[in-house]
Amino acid sequence: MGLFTAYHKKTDETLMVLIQNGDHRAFQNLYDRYATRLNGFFFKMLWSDAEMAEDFVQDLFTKIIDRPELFKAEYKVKPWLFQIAANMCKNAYRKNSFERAYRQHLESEGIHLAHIETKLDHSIQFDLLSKAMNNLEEDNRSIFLLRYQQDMTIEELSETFDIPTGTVKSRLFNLRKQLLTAIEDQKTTNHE
Amino acid sequence: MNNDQLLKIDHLIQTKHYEELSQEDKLLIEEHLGGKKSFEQYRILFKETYATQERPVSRSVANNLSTRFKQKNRPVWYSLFNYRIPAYASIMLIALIMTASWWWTTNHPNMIEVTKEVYLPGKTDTLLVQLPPDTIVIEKVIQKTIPVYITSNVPAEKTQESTEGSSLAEQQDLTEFLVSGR
Repeated sequence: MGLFTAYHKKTDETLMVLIQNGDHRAFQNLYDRYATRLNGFFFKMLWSDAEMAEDFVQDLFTKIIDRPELFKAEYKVKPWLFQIAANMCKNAYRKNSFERAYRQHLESEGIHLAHIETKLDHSIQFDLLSKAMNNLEEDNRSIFLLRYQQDMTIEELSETFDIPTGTVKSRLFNLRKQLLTAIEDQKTTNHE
Repeated sequence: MNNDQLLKIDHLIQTKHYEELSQEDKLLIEEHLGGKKSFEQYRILFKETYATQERPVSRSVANNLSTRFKQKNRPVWYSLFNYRIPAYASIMLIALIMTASWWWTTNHPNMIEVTKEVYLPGKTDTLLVQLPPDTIVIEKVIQKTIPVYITSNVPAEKTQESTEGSSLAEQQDLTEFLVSGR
């Protein structure tokens, strides 16, 4: 029992060092600390697609297993993990926009392939917040979610996105306004 | 808006209703957000966002990752015994290692053979023998050497008698004994 308690007390950074040395229990602990939060982040980032979000969580931790040396001693684990997560989402957006363009191209030529339909159209939860967030750019969506969903500090966000704290603040300020306006607009449209 | 103000407004939105704000805080909110309506809207927005912070992950993901981690970080001996050499060789090697480790770790006793003369008082037994007349009796003493084995773990020998560690009283007793010779 003492052994397990000791692992719970360790910092994320210590756990990462242990993982680099092949410590299975350290990996389990890090997974328990971040898996659900990363899943929540991916879910909101990836068009509320639960299956895709879980796949991304698995992919992210697989990266850690396969290449633990990517973590450097000077990093903080939380911003590092969410930086990887945000980059994975970026790739997903790129892939998604490519698929959309390809589908549009096929449709313009009169070809309709049902199986190419992206998950996007089916899986969005059409609540106001999700809708408003889906209209944000990928970087802005990540920054908003990491701040208000994952409770990250301005400094951690600055580290994650490699931008100055001043930029983080101004982006957050604008984003909040933008989201609120979008939600208000949707409400008005719904009433009409 | 400076860093502190942004953080303060965030904190107020996340923790309080508009009615709970102090006059000073209300002024801050009015200046930067525009009043009660916006404040409450932001509050709902943040609350909804925060509510999605965690989402359970299915057990299979954890199991897959756990298996993958264990496979990748198998110790060298594991792959050596399972993939590199045949099973019979592994067993022989294990047996050899176990014997060797037993041999090196067990504290073997020192066997010393010492021949010693031991005085044993004559043990006589009375035996009534009916002998025919004129029989000559020859007395025979049978000596038998019995080996005595002394088993001991010999401690490191002290080269010199030392009084180190003994009490002052003991040292005085020893001195008196040596001087008086009694």
